[in-house]
Amino acid sequence: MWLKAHVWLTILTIPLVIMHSGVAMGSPHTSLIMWLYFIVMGTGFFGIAMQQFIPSLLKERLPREVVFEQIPHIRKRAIDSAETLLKDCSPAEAKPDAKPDPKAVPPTAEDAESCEAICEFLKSDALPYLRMGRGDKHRLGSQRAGDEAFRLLKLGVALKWLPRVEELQACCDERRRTDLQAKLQHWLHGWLLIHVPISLLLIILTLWHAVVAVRLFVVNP
Amino acid sequence: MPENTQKQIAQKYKDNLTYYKAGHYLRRWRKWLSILAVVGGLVWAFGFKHFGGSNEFFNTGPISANHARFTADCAVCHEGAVTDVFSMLPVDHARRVMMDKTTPITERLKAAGEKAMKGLSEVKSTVQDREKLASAAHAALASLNLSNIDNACLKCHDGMALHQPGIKALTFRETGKELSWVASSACSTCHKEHVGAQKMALPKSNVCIDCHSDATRMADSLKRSAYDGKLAAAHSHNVRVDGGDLVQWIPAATTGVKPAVIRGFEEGHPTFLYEAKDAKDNAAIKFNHARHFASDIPAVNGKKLDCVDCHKPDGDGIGVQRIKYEQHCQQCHSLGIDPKLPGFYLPHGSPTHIRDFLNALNDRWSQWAKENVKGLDATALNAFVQQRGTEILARWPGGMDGAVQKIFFEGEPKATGNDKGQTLPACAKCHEVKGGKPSPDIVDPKIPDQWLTRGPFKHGSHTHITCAECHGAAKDSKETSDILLPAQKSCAECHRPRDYRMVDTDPLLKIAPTFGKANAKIARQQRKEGGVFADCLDCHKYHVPAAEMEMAKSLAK
Repeated sequence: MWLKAHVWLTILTIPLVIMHSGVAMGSPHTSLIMWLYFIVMGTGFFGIAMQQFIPSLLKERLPREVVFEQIPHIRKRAIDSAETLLKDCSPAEAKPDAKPDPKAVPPTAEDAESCEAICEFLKSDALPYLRMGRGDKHRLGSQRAGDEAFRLLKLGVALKWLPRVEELQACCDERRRTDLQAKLQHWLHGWLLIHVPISLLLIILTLWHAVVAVRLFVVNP
Repeated sequence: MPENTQKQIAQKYKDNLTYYKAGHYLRRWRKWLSILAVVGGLVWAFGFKHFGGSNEFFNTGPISANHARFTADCAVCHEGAVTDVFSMLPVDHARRVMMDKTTPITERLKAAGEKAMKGLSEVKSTVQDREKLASAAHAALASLNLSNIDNACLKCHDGMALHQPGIKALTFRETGKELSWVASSACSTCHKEHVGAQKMALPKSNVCIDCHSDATRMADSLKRSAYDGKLAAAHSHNVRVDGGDLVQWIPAATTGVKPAVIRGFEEGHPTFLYEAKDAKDNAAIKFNHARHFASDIPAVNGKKLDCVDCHKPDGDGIGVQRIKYEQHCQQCHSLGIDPKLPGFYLPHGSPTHIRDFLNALNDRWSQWAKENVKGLDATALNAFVQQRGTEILARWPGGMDGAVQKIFFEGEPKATGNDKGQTLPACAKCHEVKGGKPSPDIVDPKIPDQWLTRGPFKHGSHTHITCAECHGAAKDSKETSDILLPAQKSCAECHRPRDYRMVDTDPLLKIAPTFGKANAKIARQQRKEGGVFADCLDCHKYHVPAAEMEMAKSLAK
């Protein structure tokens, strides 16, 4: 309700501002106010436009949207998971499962090859990707390239390592989704960084303008 | 670790359930930028003057050429105005105390604190006391006006404080039973300053129409003051302005006329006062326009008599020259009392001069003979004068009284075979003559020099149209009382906004009259399309002249 009122009442100010200003910018003071008004209106309309189609885009492209504020936490969990896998695959303690298993079969040559392939992939691709600020620049940032990379990795590892590789793939997929979500959320809410502070500044300068106009032109002291 | 169930999804967040307390960085940035904007804006507004801000920051535009000499001194117009917002705060006194660096800082701090507390407690008590608050609000609202700037204008532009319906209405106020006047709004309502360095533009019609198109507003703002007009009459009449030379046609005095709702010269503008049903020309002269257009009227200077033979434009192009007997009538209607002496005319003018002329007839004949007959000696001259005397006594046997009767009342028919204009139409043929001794009186004809009472009319701007287009009724007019001026409706045919639906040719082509030469094509085009300027100020004035101010103010009380 408030949002609608604020939007429609603000649109009503357009003819009022035009009439009040006489289609002139006036003094440096009023010019500044006018520019702030343009910025506020521009960002406002941009925000309305964004809110018209970004939510549907989110719904369409992100079926498993996460809580926006949890994204850093989720990314950290993915990195932790990848680092655990790296640790498990390292030659010294190559264990497909973190829990010590007395009945476990001793590492075979196939395991060693799998671990080597996984470690190499983690070091060269997965971990740098998961640690990046903006993942869309990395090749794993592309769904197709990512799928292809993991397909090749899966071909090079033993069957028992496949669940761990799929787990890693899920982390990368989630990272890709959160990147997209963050990007869309920035478009959806980023304009408020300009809109809100400039609106507040505009209110203060408009009040200042009113006071000065009254004091300068119409008050009989 | 793909998740499918709520439990699995929740697993992702389980280590971070207090995330909402920290807030997302976008929210944090928004909060801090907003705080910065509010604090920065307030500091800037309240500290503007303190930081060395100039009044130029509030200057809405260049001063017009009219007031260019005040460019550097805002206070000339904005006297007493304050742009320092801080000075409006109740703690301003405290600030001033703090600024006084002659006092030790401890004392300053103490005094400033006291002042601040006093100011704040005053505000608090005002806010808490409803009556006080209402009266403060009322005082603040009452102080909202432009009188400060208006007073600054009036310092130089004395006598511009009131709006009145027409300067002429005041000039001829002796003829009005009431004086209507309207309180003016602020000077800046019409005169816009700070809109450019060029000369300040005159107000456009829309400023006038803004009020005049609103019947209620007009009725509310109009005041009427009864005025004991010396010459107020129920009918129109011709008046010598202040007893001088200029004759003005004055409409019938009216009272309580409802203001017209006007949206333009072509829409709602009242008809001219001379169009009133009972309006007539009261000139004490007998003139038959139609007779002068008759086919038996002899040619003048080889041409058929035309309007411009008598109605010649004056020097400044505003009006037409006043009709003068010697210039416009004498050629056909000479006052030749002796048919045998070409150019031997009675003087036109005062009856006394005519009587003096008759008393000195012998001298006049003698003078005429010296100027017109060559080789006359004294004896011949004497004989000539005696001969003329004998002949005139034969024609006018009654002596001086007979001559007066003939000259003033009866006249003489045009002498046969005379072709030099020696006619003697009686004064009464054209004038109103009243019997009197020693000579009759001629009633002052008072032919109007001016008909319009609210503004000027420039004949010079209308020479591309023929006389008949506006004064067509003259051709059939037989009575002097006929007013032969165009109706307002006729003027509005051209003086209206251009009707582009009627434009056949290039619409960007401006209609340019060829002044000084009748141009039927342009005249026709103007009537069809309009487009000739019709701003209110072209005819009307707004302000009361300075000389009339005192009277207007006294009547306003």
